[in-house]
Amino acid sequence: MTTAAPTLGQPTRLSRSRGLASRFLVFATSQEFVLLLVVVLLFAVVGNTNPRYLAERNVLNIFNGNAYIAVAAVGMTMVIISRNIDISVGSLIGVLGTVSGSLAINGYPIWSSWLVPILLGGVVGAVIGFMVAYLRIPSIVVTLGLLSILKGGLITVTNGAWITDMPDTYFLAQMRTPEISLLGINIPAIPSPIVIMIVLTLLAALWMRYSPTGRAIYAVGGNAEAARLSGISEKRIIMTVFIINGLCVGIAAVLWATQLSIIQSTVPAGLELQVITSAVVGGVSIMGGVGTTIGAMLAAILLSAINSALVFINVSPYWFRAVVGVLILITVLTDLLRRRRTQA
Amino acid sequence: MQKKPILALEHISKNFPGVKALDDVSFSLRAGEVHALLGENGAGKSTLIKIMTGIYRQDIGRILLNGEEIHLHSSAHAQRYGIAAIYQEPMVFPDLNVAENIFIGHTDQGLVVNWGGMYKKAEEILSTLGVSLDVRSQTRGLTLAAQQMVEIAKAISQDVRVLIMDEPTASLSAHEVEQLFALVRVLRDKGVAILFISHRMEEIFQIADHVTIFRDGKRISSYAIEEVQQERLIQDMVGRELEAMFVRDFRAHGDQVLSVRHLSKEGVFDDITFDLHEGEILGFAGLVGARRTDVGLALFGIEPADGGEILLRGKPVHIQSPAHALELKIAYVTEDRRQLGLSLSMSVIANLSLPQLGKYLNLLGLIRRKHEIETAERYRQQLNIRTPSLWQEAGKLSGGNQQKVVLSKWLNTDPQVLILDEPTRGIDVGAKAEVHQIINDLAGKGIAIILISSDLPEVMGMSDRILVMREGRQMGIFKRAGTSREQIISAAMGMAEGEAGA
Repeated sequence: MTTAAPTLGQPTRLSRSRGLASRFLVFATSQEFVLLLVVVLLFAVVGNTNPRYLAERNVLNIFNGNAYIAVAAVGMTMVIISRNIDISVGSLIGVLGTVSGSLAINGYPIWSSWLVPILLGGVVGAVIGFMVAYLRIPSIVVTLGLLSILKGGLITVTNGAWITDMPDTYFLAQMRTPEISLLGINIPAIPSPIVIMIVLTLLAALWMRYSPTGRAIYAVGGNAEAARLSGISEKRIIMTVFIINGLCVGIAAVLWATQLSIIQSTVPAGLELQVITSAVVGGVSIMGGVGTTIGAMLAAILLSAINSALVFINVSPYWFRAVVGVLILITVLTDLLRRRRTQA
Repeated sequence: MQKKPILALEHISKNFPGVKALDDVSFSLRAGEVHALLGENGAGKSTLIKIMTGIYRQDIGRILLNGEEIHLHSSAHAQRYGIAAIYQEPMVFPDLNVAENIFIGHTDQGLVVNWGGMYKKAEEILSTLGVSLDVRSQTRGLTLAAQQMVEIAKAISQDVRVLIMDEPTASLSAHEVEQLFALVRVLRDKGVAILFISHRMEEIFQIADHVTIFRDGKRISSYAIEEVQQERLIQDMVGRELEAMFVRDFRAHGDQVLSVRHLSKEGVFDDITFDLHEGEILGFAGLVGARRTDVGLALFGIEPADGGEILLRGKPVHIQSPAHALELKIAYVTEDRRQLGLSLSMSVIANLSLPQLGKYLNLLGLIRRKHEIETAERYRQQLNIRTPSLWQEAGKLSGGNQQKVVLSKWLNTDPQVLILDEPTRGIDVGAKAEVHQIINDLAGKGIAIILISSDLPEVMGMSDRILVMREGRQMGIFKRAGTSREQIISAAMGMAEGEAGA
């Protein structure tokens, strides 16, 4: 039964075109659209100065270079939207990458060296989720603790021994799609990380938009109390978010490890910051409730493109971090301004 | 009357969007007097206090301190002029000790804190107040009353000349109130001007020298306490003009939907008993601290009750969570839209469907957006929600339209019991009338409605019966017909004549 609410007042019937116009405005001012424009602009400007920047090889490198970051950023996007944070992802990538390599050189089937780290990531995510949702420990504290445990534990267990001589079939990240020719257009061989990044990002974006759980993640991050009053279980949502995040980190770890010929059994420095930066520059609000995985992916690509561009326009790569810093501040500032207008 | 005023407010007006909070108010406080301020919720008392303590600035009017005009920028600034306020909930730093709390915010201590001197001074101040407290003990763990003493001592340490006490007794026991009053008299005799706000009539007659009544942002009257009777004060608070334009079609009620028997929650409310029928509106009236909202929270499972019974269509239910209440078709429109009602960063559409997402799924378990949009469009037209687009973030709507979104969200759950908590607070007059019309129509459709409201004309104009609460107790249920506003107010203030049948 549907409750027909009362009839009163003059129905304000807005014309369809105005609705469309307003939807277009929302789209055109979205972080995703702006990022896309910036990426295209960057390619155009730098490509104009140095055409080699636009060479197929370089473009693929740009997309490929940060693909595992973008994959981790899919999970991070959900975590931040739910108004949490995970600063242990860098360490976890290091640990799971090491696990992956160890499995591969110790005679376990190759598929298990890909799958086990992913599942293990899910388990770690569940542990974080449990502590955040049920023990009510702030996620920054839980993951700060985990970061130290993983980092220290990895060194203790492996003594920093390098993992080398993985079997040839191990290098998932170095595989490519076959070159195909479709309707006279040659599609080059795409490295698998790019494919995985795009598929995962789009699936996650659709899931966030069309599934009740996805919607609930936004609701919990936007206003946890209102979500609870609407009958949504905040605990269940936070568990879900951290498990998915763990799985994403697992995939990212496999992509990271399988592109290296030597796994150094250490934690790559500052990885978690790159992942968080991608999410934040991608328009995910650090206050929760706002953002998409597509934005985060575009930001990861943009960062990679800027890094590469600095080389091509002969600017010291040391500038990269400063540029990233400026980007973060600009995005957070626009987010705050947008919010201030909302709350006014 | 001979004494000169310390603090005088002249022709103060203050507007908020859609509301005239204070309208040409003149008011003065004299040294060594306790001046009580009386008025219903929303009469303008809080706004007045905030202007006196520099939290708000008046739109028009002047503030004179000892005859000289002052411009207050902040409460710290007001404190420098010797104007301080203490509230129902003391604002102490729980991890600091008593002396540190007393001297917090003093910058005249040089580079290093002189601990010995500070403890000595703190002890001196407390002893002049006749209070025995260990100045070295942490404030966490002190009783509310003791924390208030600390706050008063803090005000003294800053040479307070005007002390505003906003419902300081609301959370105190009778004995603690006595102690507080003893202290108030000490301060008064020292020449401090005290502005005292309380909803307890007997306290006003006990402690105040003068009393001023506010209503609808205006100063209505002032009296010396010995010249005035309770009845007079109540009449002034209530006003004479009667409920004018409330649309309400009174019809016969349907079946009994909800029956609440001796509902209690330890330390919050006690022995609440009422019945509610299809198409009936039961008003909940009471002053601040009457605990009406807590009954609503219990019925919706947010803060479940711990005693008594709830019968829904004759069957006992134990409502333990909002999700459970939703299943039982009970909906609760919260008092605080922004904090509890809406996710401000989500669209109107997404807010609307949130409690009912399960109903919008296709076979794949995905949300059918088209269906969602249709619902939102329907409510936009029916409740006349004014928004440029349904995709607009809820936070960008005006208060009245936000309220309509919240209402729509809960109507969409198809409730049989609808609890409305202050549904028209903070929205403008036009939107108010629309919301009243909506409530009337909902009752007409057979929904059983509980209307919690501090707006007395609203409760009396809209309700079939009115349950009056005071400090967690049910003071009586009054039929709309034949009940005067004075009776309701008297009951809400805990005065004898509030006896009436259910």
